[in-house]
Amino acid sequence: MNRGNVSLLTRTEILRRYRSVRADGRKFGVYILVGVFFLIPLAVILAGLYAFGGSVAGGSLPEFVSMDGVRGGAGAIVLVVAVLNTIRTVQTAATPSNADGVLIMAGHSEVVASLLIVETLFGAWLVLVPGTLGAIAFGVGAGSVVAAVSFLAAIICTAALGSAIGISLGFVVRNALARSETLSRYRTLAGIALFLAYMYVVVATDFESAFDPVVSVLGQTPLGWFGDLALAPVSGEADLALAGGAILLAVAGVAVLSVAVDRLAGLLWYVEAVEGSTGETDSSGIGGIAGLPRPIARIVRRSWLRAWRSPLRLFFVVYPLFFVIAPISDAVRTGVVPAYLPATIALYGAWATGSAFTLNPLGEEGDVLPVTLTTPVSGRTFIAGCCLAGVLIGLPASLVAVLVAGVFAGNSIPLLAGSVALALVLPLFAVGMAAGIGVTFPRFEEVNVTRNREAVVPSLFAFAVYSIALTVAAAPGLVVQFEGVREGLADLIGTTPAGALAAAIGTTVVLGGGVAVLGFVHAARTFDSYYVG
Amino acid sequence: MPAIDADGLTKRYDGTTAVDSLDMTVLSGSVFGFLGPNGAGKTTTIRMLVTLLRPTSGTARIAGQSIENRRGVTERIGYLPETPPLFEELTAREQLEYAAGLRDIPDGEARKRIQDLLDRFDLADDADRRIAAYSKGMKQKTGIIQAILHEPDVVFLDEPTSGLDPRAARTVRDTISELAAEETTVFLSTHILPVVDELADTVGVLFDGGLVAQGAPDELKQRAETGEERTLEDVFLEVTSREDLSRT
Repeated sequence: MNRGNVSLLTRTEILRRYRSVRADGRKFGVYILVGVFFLIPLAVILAGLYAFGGSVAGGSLPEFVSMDGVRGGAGAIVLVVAVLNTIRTVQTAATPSNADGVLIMAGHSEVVASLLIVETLFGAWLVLVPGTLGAIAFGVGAGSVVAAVSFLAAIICTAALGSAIGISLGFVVRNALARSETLSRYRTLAGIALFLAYMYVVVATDFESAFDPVVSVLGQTPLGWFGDLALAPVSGEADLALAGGAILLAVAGVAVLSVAVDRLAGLLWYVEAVEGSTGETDSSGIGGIAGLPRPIARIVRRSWLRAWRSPLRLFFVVYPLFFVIAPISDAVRTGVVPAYLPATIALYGAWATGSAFTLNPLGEEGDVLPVTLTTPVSGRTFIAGCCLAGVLIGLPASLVAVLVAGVFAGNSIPLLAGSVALALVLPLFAVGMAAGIGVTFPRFEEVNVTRNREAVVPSLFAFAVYSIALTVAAAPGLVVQFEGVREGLADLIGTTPAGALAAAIGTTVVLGGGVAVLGFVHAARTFDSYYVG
Repeated sequence: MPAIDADGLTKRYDGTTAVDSLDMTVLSGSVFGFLGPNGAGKTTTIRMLVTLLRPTSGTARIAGQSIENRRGVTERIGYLPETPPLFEELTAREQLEYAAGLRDIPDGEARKRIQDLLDRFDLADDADRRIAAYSKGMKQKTGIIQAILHEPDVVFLDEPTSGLDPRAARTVRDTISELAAEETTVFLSTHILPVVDELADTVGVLFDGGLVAQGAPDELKQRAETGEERTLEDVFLEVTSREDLSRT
């Protein structure tokens, strides 16, 4: 192995990453922001470690902590680090920058060494800075320098071994994907299935009880020895022999796994990967839309085909779901559906319907925009096609979900009718608003939707303006779902609660409908008069 | 009637003049070879002619329609930009059906035209594979088919033979000849001078935003003649030399 090459590759990659981050002011800002937000939980963790250090200073663990629990926790940390590194390796790290060029100028072992050094250096500041602070807090709490050193050693060992396991597994997965057409074909679907399974665990089960058995088993494996290493100098319950074994395990594991990564990289980088998702394709089942003018039908079909074959492009549509995990989780666990949930679903359904195909109609055309603009298709037709692509799926889906939630919530007929009315009109308003806002704040450049997948998605500004506009328009119809608001409004305008419900939804219809029409007309006119430079 | 008639077409960006008072006439049914070094303003000119870019001043008429009337122009033109304008998630057949749909070509007729062109460009066997898996040449072929599918009056081709193997490049050259024989005007921008020499009825050379030479290839070769036999490449190098330009 040529060490000069390794050094050169490493320096070049670090420089490339540094410039990449600095060149993108927004990305740089996000990193700074994340770092600042990280300070708050870090402070809490440091305080916790200081208190924990103090509680073990006497030689025994506090009542609420068992040594088995510490070992399980240590094993879980290795698991989490391994999973994160596996994902990172599968998505990006297993592919060197400028792979074709680098691999003919340097040996693959040199590239692997450089890759591991760079990953270690970039991971190190994430581990060493908070890890050192954590070890100091623990050591000060315990009143022992040795305790701090041992604690830091445990952190470094868990991070190193977890990373080595994760990177190795990542290369195994990438090799499998490169060789199996079936795996490659269903890669995206598998990712979505894993995500849904994770969401199911989060939403429908008790997170702790689901993972307790896993943590317990991990604590009984050698991975649990890192718990002994962390507490060996201060706790009599920690086993010194196991603590020593932990260090040997980490050193040996990293060494063996580094060799494995070298071999796996050699197998991966010189094979022509199969392309399971780009073979013969039958689209006859998508797009037979009778009764629509041909250009509109083609635009709808194109939108659906692109979404079906590249679903990650629309991943942003699920982001707001994270805000409703808690109420949905409660509803699933307790069997009690809150009365406001159907209307909330109607709002989310409309938001998703509008944002999927209409929040960046010009940008989503990508390289095809010049050709689309140089066809005789009018702005009205083009925007209508984009709107229908969303409405034809979003409206029925939203309606069904609202109906089901409304029935399970046991809402009164007027309330159910109100939420159904919202589910019917809000998606129609959403697409018009989204189109108008989308052409005003378009985005043409690609962004990372996953770590190795780029796509053109709507601009953050478009998201913000659209979300606010839709929420404001829907607000009268939404707030009136709450009984107190409904009755208060009824008193105010001198009518029955059902009348107040109708009046509020009518306000939403007028407000939302007006903005939607304006948005649609503006989008169509913008398309008609759009110039690319 | 000229198919393309540009009058004082100018485009400026923040003090930089990309195209400067361009006057140009291209006759119907002819092949116009549009040459110029990188950065000369060729793509900017084409974008103005196909209504994608608003000129700073001047105007042009394409097939009798002012470029200010986008609908009127776009009904009559086909356009292949330098990067083939394709959706990678679609197959070539779906992409072409989409383009045909936007131009409201009846389905049956569109299917027949698409199949004929796929056969001609030797792309029929791969037409139902996703474009993401295509080679550069296959994408280029799909882009060319898309540009001529609706039988336009004027077709603008920006580097149409880029990335094509010799057989496919031959097919493109034959197609351009056939289009011209059927009275379609072809505006051909390329750096491959033998292609222009073979196909073009008229050549225009753009340099620093201005047209520095225009005429039939043979005329241009004669004009540049200095006693020895000249090629189109010699002419190109001569008229796009900064020293020569500064002397004139």
